Amino acid sequence: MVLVAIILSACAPGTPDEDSWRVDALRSIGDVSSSVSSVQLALQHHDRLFGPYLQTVAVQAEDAAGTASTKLSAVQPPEPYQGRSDTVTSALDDAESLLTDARIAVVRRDSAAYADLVRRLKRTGDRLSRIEDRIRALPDDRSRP
Amino acid sequence: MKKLLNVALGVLTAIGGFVDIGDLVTNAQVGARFGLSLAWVTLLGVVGIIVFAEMSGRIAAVSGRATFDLVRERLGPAMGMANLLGSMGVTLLTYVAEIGGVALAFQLICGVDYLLLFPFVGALVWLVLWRAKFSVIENLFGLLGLALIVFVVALLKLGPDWSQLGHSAVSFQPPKPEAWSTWAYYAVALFGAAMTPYEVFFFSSGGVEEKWGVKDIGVMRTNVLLGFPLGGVLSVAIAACTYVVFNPLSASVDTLGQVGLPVAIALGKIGLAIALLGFVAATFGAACETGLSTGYSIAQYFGWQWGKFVRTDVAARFHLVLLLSTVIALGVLATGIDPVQVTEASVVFSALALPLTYFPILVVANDRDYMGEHVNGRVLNVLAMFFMVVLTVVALAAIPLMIWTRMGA
Amino acid sequence: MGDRFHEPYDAVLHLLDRQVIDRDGLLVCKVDDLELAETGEGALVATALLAGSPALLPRLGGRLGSVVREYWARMGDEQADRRLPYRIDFALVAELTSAVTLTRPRHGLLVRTPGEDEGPVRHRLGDLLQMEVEAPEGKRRILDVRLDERHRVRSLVIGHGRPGAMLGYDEREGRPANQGPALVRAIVRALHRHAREVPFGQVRIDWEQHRVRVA
Repeated sequence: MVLVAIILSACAPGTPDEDSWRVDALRSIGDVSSSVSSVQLALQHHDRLFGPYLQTVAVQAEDAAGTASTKLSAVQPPEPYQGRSDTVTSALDDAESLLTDARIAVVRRDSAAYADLVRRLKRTGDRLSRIEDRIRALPDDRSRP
Repeated sequence: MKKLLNVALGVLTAIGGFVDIGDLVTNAQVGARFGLSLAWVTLLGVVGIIVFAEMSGRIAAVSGRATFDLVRERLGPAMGMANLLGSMGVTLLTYVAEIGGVALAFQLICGVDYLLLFPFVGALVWLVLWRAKFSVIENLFGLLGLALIVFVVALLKLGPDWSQLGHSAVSFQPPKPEAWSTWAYYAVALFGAAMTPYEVFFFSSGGVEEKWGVKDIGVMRTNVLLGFPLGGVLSVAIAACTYVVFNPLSASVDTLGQVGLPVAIALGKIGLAIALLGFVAATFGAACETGLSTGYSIAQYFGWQWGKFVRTDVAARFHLVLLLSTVIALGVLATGIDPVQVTEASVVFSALALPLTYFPILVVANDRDYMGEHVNGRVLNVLAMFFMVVLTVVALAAIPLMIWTRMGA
Repeated sequence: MGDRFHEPYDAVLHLLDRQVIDRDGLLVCKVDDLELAETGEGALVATALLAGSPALLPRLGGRLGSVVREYWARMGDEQADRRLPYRIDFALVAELTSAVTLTRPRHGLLVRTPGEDEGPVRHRLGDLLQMEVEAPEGKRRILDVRLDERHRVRSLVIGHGRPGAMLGYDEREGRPANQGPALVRAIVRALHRHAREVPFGQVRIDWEQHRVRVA
């Protein structure tokens, strides 16, 4: 049983290569943009949420986004992807700091700032999904982009 | 009222099995990513667990033997021990996750980090397992867990495009851009979440705790036929709610806080408060269910006195197991591991362990020596054999799929 | 379900691994093993239930069983009775249904088996079940041991597989012929189509060599 598991895990896709960076990047962008959307949603409806609830959503979203972008920054992008990698990293960093701003506002119960934050979160979310689409559109095989 | 309380065991079992912390999040995750295209798995799981729980409940009512007694009698000590280790592993993992889940639910209420809360939650769960009467546990948490019906109300209030939801439910294929393998992995996870071994350990042992006899078979069937479909409805409602709210944003759902958002959006603070009550009750109920199940399965394998129908000192070893399980669970949580991910892994392993628990029950439910005239009928046997095959296929597919899709990432 | 203790029964299918319950319904232990005593006339008769780790662990089978048992013994090297299981004499058994019910309350019930040198020669059913059977048709295993109403070994069921593998699906009088589900019944019967019952008179047990010969 164990042997079978080991052999099978050797076949699992995603060994480090060009494709792997692409897959990891897509996953991290997806995670971060999910966090952004959740906080956007929560702030939009902040009058329907309890303070601690909103705060927990904001804190957990910030944590999740931080984890996701740290994970990606630990993956060495292959040479031809270097330019794209920088774009992704900077977009993720922006999103992360925006989520931090959101969390700070939420913890201060600074509801005047929410409307502006929602707008910025929406813009960031759109930017992330554009990047996501572009990376997804990269050729699936290992030919150079 | 008495009649109503009679079905509390089934309701609590089902809520613990279908909408515990892992399922709350898994259902929401599946809803956001796959819409209702996996709702058929929940339906299949509901029918499967009904068949399984009905057989084991009937055996408990007729012969007074709970599930793990029969596992050892029919599989022998060696295979029984292997099954015990596997099932204990799964149940303990789930217990860890549930205690963490209660703490996560409290975090949503008071805003304090769950890592500061879980030791108190663990102590509280243990205190309940030690002191509270069995009927208090099942009635209190079973009935409070019904608060999760708020997800059904929220879905109606959200006013989704029903034809689109219906279309998604009968599409039987992953929506773009999801891969078939990921879809299949979540199918296995959802099935494993619906049919966990500890549900049956708990349900049949609960029957013995309640001193079911032959005349209670009707009550037992009502429990099964009301409780599990209710659990299924709640799972699908949660999936549908998150689909409606999160899918347009193409956002995934990973935390309990996100699961509650659709209810807040639809019903405001009152709805959210009810959902939070439901979260706490369901996870606390599931924690009691899994905690007791660790004690039930070990005690039943070794023949020790178990159960809450005797004084705690009469079942001392059973209560010692409960205490140790709680300590181990707290130790695991103290590593800072994410409780939600723990259950996601445990449902897949439970799919793996299930056939070895199901088979002895199927054999004994047909054995006139135990059951007299209450053996399985022909129709039930056809259904039961169908699930024997399904369970075997799922068990064989579980680990390869988990590795291949890197846990559905 | 009626009492099976006072009619013929199968040791593995009906008795081994069942729950033992005291007079008041409290749980005592499992039937981890059975004690078999040699009588003067060369017969073998079941005389007591054995319980506790020293009875259970060897039944885990083969090398694993003996290793675990050895570790268990070493954990209490100074205890003289570490390898001796608890013993419940058949005289204390009230009835055998889906559980074994005793005539006494459980308080202070379990005592260790006396050492080797007292009384008749005693064996364990678990040891017998692990022996290799040399039958005219080839090497076989013991699937079950049939006892009569006075607990004397009447016959052995031999075939391929492990003890209890027939799961009650064997065809003979006293068993319902159509125990379902049909598919399981068909598979179990097909797997054990060569299994057969051997009267105890045709069997020679070599306890030293761990071997059973069928004439």
